[in-house]
This record gives sequence, C-alpha cells and structure tokens, in this order.
Amino acid sequence: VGELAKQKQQGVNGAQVTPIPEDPEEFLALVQPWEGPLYRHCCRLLGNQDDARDLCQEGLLRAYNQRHRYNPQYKFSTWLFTLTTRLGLTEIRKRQVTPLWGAKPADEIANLSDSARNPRGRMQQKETQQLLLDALSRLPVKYRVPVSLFYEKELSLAEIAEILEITENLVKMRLYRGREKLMHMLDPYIRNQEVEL
Amino acid sequence: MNDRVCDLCRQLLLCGASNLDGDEARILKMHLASCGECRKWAKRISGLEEMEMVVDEMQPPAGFHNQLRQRLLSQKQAKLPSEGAWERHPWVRIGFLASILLYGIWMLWGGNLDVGETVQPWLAVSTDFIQQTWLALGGITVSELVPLSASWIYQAAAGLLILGLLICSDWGFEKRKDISL
Repeated sequence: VGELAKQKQQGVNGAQVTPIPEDPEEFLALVQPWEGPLYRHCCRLLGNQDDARDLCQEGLLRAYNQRHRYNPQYKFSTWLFTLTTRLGLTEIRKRQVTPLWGAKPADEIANLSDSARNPRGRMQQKETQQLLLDALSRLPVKYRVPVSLFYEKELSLAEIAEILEITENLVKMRLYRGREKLMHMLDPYIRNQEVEL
Repeated sequence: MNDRVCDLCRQLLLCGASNLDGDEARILKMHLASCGECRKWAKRISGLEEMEMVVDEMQPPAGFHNQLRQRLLSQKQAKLPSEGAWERHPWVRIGFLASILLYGIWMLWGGNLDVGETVQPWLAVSTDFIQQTWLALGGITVSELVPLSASWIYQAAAGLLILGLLICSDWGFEKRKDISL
C-alpha cells in the first residue's frame, strides 16, 4: 500500500509533486513536462491548435489557482487532465460546434473520406495530423474524450475512468465504439496507406 | 460462437494491447492465429495507431511556456480588488437601492405623514440645534424646515443605520481572492 501511495505521488520521471508550489516559477517547472501531453489532449478535444493552446493554458492556470484543492493521494497528471478536460467540455458545450451526443451527418463524414482519398499519395505529417483531428472532432464527445485520454500512454484505463467519473468497463466500451467509428471514418486513408506500403 | 469471439477480439484490439491482462492477451493471440478476418482488423488498427502516433509528435507552439509564465506572473501580481458583499450578493445591492428609494420617499412625504410628531424633550433640543445649524450654513428659512421634526431625526438615524449595516456586512464578508478563471 505504501508503495502504491508513493507511486501515486510521483509525477513525470518519478518527481515528487506534492505539495504544489505557490511560487510561479516552481509551478511552471513542475508542469512543464505535462505541457505537451495536455496540449495534444486539447488539440484532440477541440480539433484546432489555436484553441487548444488557449485551453491548455487555461487548464494550467486553473491548476495553479486551485492548487490547494489538489489531493496528493492522486497522481498529479490525473488531476491536471481532469481540470483541463472539464474546461474543454465546458468550452465545447458553449460553442456547440458539434452535437454533443450524436454523430455528424453522414455527408460530412463522406467529405472527410473524400479528403482521405487524396490522390497525392502519402500525406504530409501535418495533413495527417489534421485529418485525425478532424475525424476526432466529428466523434461524439462521449467517445472523443476517452479516446483522446487513451492516447496518453501515461494514463491507465483506471485513471481515465477516474477523470471521467465513470466505470472502467464503460471506458472500455466507449473506447471500443469511439475507435471503431474513428477507424470507419479514416478507413479510406488507412487502406490507401496499406496499398502504398 | 465464433462471431462472439471475433467481437471480443476486436474490442480487445481497440482497447489497446497495453491494457490487456494475461488471459486477454492469450485469448487474443490464439484467436488471431486462427481467424483471418480478425487479422485484417488487427492490421487496420495498426494503421490507425500509426496515424495516432503522428499526433503524438505535436508540440505546443513556440512561446507557449513564456506566454504561460507571463499570464501566471501577471495574475500573481494583479490580484483582484476585494470582492465584497456588493458583488457577491446581488440582494445587498437591491436592498441598498430599495432602502435609498424608501428613504427618499420618506424624506419627501415625512412631513405630511405625521410620523413622530411627538417630540421628546431631548429630540426637541436636537432638532432645534440642527435647525439652527442648517440655517447658519444654508440660510434656509424656517418655513422650509417645517417638515423637520422628530421624524426627520428618526429618518436620518434609520438611513445611517442602514448604511452602517451595509458597510459592516461588507467588511464582514470581505475576503481577498485571487483572480479565478
């Protein structure tokens, strides 16, 4: 139990993260390793890099302002992702760019597939990134969030369940359905890649 | 039966190989060895994972960290002025405005409403003193001061009491807070 508690208190590279420092410079040093993962998570949630930058910064600022609420029994990364995910969900709800619990119309997915059949052959890295982000932004939020968190190798399924306040089995179910939909959307591109290889 | 195993296999594949326990990994391996359809699935999933890995290479834009530092430091320096009861409790503002309004009406009509016409001796002294002072300061004629009676003292006292209560409640609630997002 002691070892487990110790592990929970460890951040990236095993650094102790509790208590969260009040000094801004120390706080920045603490969160710096998480800036990349959080930023990517925000990109996947919002599908837009500019908005993702803002959301990521808001998440980190909130973490600083609410540092006294951090419970050292939990992993620092889990807490950071929880705060940022909640902010992201609020942002998505505010905008209502995509229906929250429903899929996009079929024609939009068809458009995505058309772009995936781009005859230029192997797409550039940026295009591939954007393609995936577009596909993710077309996923209903209830699938998008667990799928996005799943990409962070630091987070286990149990931690994702903790962040989303749902059971681990439900996380598995949503991951399965979400990634299945994602694969369906990106299928033309994936097949194209297979042919080229 | 085979369909169910295929479904399970696909679910396991989509939940990520790293999240499988020993039994699940063994079942998956055995099934993949015997099922061509699921092997195709596994191949498609690995194609998806390759795409996903490209997103893993995304990094925050240049200047991200410095911008965050600036925001954090400016926030640290510029703490918001205290947010008193005025801002936190709208009813205080409504109550304050309503009391001013009532007080104004009372002041305007007080003389005609016979409020507090019975003047106590000490109040009589007070009102007399106020009237004298008022006259000395503003040169207002006595006729203008007719509505001034004991009720005027009550009104002024009530107004001061309301104001005092509001100030005290504000002090009591006052608490410095960081800028919250």
